[in-house]
Amino acid sequence: MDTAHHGSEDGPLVARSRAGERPAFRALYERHVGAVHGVLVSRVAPQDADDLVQDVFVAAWRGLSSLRDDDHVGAWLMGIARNLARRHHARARPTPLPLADPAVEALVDGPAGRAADEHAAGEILDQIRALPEAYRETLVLRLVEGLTGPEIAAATGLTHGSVRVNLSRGMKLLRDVLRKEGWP
Amino acid sequence: MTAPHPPAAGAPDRGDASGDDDRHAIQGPPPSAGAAGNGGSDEGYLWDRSGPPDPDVVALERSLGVHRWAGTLDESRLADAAPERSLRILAWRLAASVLLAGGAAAWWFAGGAGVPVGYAFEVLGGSPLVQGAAGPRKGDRLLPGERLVCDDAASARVTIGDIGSIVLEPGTALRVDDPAAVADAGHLLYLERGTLQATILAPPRVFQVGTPAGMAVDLGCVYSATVDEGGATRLRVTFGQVAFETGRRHVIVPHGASIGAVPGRSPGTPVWDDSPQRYRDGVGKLDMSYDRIAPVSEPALAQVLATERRKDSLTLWHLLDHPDRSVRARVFDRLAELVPAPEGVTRQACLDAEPASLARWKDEFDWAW
Repeated sequence: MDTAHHGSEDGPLVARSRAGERPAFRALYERHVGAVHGVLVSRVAPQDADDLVQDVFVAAWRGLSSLRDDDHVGAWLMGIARNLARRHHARARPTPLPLADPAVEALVDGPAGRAADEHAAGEILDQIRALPEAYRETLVLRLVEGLTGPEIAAATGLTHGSVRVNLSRGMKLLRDVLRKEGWP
Repeated sequence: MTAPHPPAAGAPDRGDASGDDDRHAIQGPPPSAGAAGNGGSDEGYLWDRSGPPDPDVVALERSLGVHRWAGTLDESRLADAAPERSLRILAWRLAASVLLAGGAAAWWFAGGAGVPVGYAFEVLGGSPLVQGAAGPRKGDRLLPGERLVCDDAASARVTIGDIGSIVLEPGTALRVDDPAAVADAGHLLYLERGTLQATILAPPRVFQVGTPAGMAVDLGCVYSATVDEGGATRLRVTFGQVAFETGRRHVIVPHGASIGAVPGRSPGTPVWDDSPQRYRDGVGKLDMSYDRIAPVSEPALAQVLATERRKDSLTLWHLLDHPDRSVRARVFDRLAELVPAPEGVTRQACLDAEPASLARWKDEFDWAW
């Protein structure tokens, strides 16, 4: 996954994608999928986020003609992701069974240890999603997707100062809530 | 886990997000890259991994990393989702442009928007009557101030200069008004009752038809307008677009859509003719709340907002002028899900009904109407 997010390099790829060139669109995907996935994970369960990632890029493929500034395709994609996540929440969905349920763990691919890891990660994500929106998205992009602060700024259009504040304050809040939950 | 020192004093405040709303904009004095944020650990690692590793951050990275995106693009789904600006739509727009250009040229060579001296008409059935200052008469020409009345057995076709014609169905009464009374109008008629079918190819606003419920302003189109005995008007467009205007509200009705309008009230919100009846009913109930005739119906609003059709941006965009700000806010959110607002078009501006922002957003989808 390329997390460079150079907007000026996106323009030609957008133009070629708009003309129907799949390889160019694939390159855009590689460049921005991490940020898009992070936006989704900050709002919906990871398994739903994985599905919605595809929806975001299908919607983008269809709607490239509506993109006005080709160099800001990253922010545009993240906007689509936020909208799809919001719509996802608007629909009534069954509550998934907790992974700690042995019957469910048996259905999970891989060793039980991975299920336990995902369960722990899921609990942390729940805490992140309870934070103010600005913090949660920034933290997920940093801690889940592995983007650095400058990369988050480039992807979201926020200033370095805003991202730095969101990371710092969000991390403080997260430490506090996790400590109360008994996190080591 | 050690408790960190707060990076800055005070509650979070709004910042300078360059995006289109306020979702990210928590701002404050930024902590420096090397500032101690974790009881002595360096926030440089949190920022760009440049400083000594923060054990908490490293642990979280390791734990949460299991959810990092590792999939691939499902290109099979792209094959099923052709870009929306299809050749069919481009061809339609090109054809419409050519027709409009042709109509504009014909109108120009016919003498432009000079005051018409009358309209020739042909009888299609029965015995239409011309009612002028001197009383009813027969004839084949309709002069300013006169009315053409078709009883239940009569119908007629009226030629509108060189820009088109209208057909009056049985039970219709039409009056010729002075176009000088309305800005931009080259032809001004008034449909008192009944139904007319208009086929007009002219520059926008040249041909206008008043009704008891508002003014139908031709934007280059084919449409029908029906006025019942109470003055209620229904407008259905089959080609091009028509604006329907009153002092309270302006709406745009594209081909395939229709509106209803009642005298003394805001015209209805455009709805596609192929919309389910429940959806149409929901829009109709919402329209009742425009003039405070009825409170906003929550079930109706929910019904309208539940649409999954991108083309219903037609209805949702128009509802952004609802007098209730809370309704506008919910409509904005739903419309943004269907068609993301372009950069620079903010939620605040749309809720404030800022015309330029609303127009820019409409540009994102009205080409497909």
